[in-house]
Amino acid sequence: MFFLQILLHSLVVGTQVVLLAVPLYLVYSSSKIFHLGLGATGISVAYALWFALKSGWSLPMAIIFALICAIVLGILSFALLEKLAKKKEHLFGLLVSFSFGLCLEAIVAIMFGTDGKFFLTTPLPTIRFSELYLTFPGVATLIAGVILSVLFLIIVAKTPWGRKMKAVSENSYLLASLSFNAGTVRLFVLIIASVLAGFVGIMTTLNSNLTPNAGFSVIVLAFIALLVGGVNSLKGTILASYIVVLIPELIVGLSSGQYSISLSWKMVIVFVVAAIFLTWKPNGLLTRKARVE
Amino acid sequence: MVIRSIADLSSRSYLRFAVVEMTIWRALFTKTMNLAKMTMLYLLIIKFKSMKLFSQKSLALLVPVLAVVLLLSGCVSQPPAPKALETIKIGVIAPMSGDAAAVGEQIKKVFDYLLPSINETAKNEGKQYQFIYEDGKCAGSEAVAAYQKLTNIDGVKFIFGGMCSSETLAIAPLTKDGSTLVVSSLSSNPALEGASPYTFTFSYSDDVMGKTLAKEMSKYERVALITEQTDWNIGIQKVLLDELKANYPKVTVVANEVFPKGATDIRSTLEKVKKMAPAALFLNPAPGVTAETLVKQMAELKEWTGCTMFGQTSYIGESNLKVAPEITEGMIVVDAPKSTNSEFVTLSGEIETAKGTISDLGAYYSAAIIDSTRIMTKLISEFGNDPIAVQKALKERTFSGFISNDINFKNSSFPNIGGGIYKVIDGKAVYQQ
Repeated sequence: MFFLQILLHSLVVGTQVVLLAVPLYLVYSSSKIFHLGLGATGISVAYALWFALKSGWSLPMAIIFALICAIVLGILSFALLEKLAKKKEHLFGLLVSFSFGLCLEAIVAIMFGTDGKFFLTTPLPTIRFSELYLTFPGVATLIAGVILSVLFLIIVAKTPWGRKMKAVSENSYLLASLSFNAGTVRLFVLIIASVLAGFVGIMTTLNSNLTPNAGFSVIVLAFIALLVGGVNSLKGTILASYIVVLIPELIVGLSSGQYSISLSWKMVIVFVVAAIFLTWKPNGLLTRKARVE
Repeated sequence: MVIRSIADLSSRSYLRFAVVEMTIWRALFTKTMNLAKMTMLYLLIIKFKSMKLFSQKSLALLVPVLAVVLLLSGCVSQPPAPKALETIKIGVIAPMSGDAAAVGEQIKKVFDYLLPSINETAKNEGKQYQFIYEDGKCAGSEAVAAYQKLTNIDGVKFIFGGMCSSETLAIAPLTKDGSTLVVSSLSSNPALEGASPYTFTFSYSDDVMGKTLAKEMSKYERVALITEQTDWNIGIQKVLLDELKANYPKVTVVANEVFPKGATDIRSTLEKVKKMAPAALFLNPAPGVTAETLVKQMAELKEWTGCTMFGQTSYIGESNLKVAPEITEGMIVVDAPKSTNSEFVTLSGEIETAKGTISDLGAYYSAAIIDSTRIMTKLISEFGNDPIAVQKALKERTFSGFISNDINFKNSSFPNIGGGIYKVIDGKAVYQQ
């Protein structure tokens, strides 16, 4: 039971990372830019929801407000990154998105303060199965994670939209000659990515507490997962998200008593796991060898 | 008159117009004007004009705007004060942001409330005090930056703070040359003992807290600890473990978990601790959000029956106790003895009425801030803005205050204070002994 309980907690954390790694993958696939500002975007959307609820708005209105904020942040990301994506200045794109994230964190900190906020002032409601338990946000994260992962796997691999998304980053001029607008595709992807980041931001902070820099640790894990899984493989990214989270969580969680490993070691283990996988499979977990012409 | 003559010097009609306008404002707002500053302003405008930085139209607009700014910013001289008071600046380093911001805010409330009464007393000595607040963020590096700003830019020679042990431990080495005297009210890490001859704290030492906790927890055979990774919390954990090992061999520490500072998800750690089935569990988070998160996540886990909870200062305030009463009710909290002095009770009530709640500080630390402020300002009024002379007096004398009637630093950086035991009853930490 103890093992299963630790596994359940770890799966929730892993799914939070998956839900941020997927938008990171989508943005990369359409623009070849690592959008590291997505973590802060998600937290900003969570603050928007918190602010709306604290202001006495009804839940549907607060969700609509948070959704509008996510869309606005997606459009803002597009305005910042589009030129760089067009010019294929991907490193600048990474720096700009990172700066965008830092700016968002600073703005949120100035507006709401840096002390933690709670959506609920009482302990979270839980769902129990025999001796096992999960919080409601944890269950919602797991369910949403599974549904969205499968959905995006299908969209990216099996639909024209997924092929179009990949094509814009490969050769946007060729796509334009076929009367497709690459900019519109990237805008759409960034809006979807911001909404997804907002969802994971809300779920993560609902499950713990809300601080301006809460998105940083999740985006770092998602970024590592994207690298370990392979930047061109959504399946690999999803698998790697669980690997980089589950291994450290289980090592920390299952060690106890005299041989207990502290939670403070978690990020160290994450980086060791990532280093091992990147050395073993530098192009990604599920990437096959391709013939080089 | 002077302004008009300056205006006559200019052949430009727009400038003359603007200066006349300023004269009217001057007549409206004050009867005297700082001639030197006005002349400088005039010369600047001429210079800007020659540099073609402004068009004629914008220059005509600029003059009245600048005049308003000068009037509002105090360029206009005020009526002379009846007696010149020497202003002594005192820095305050406290966590104004971050997880412990709520505590920092309450510390500021106490200082803000005390300042007028202190200045009223100091007026007789020809002095007045000014507090300059800097954010230490409960972190050593931030506290050092705040210290450098206060000493190098503001020129302060006395600092109240840091308030977190991490802050005070970081700035203590910088005071060794005696250029600044640092007095904390809340820092309790035993490593502060002798850290610098010019660093003192009005808090009790964690040694006292650790020993009192060890004595209370020794009633149980299987004990566990959950500690946040901060200097203050690690200090308490170390003293408690050393004391249990040295004096209570029958007690077994079945779990000793440490989690990172500001961690938001502590559920796996709590599962590990619960699996070891301790009879007593010491919760050792930093004050603020983490303390609240810890008990909330424990409440989600449920089934802590048969395990007696122990806490420290983080659970003395009501805000952290009310979020998960199923965990905190009955908790034994070790802190300093409660001040029952009636004057203190009245004063803290007045502070709460005037400035809002200070409950997260607890009675001891509120009293410690009041005592340290009163004692230090009294000594500064007596010995002047001289940290070495004030430090000498602080070490040699014995003081009476709300925290004790025998506050002395003759052989220690800490005052001579014992530990107090509280029990949480109906959501409040009630003093037991």
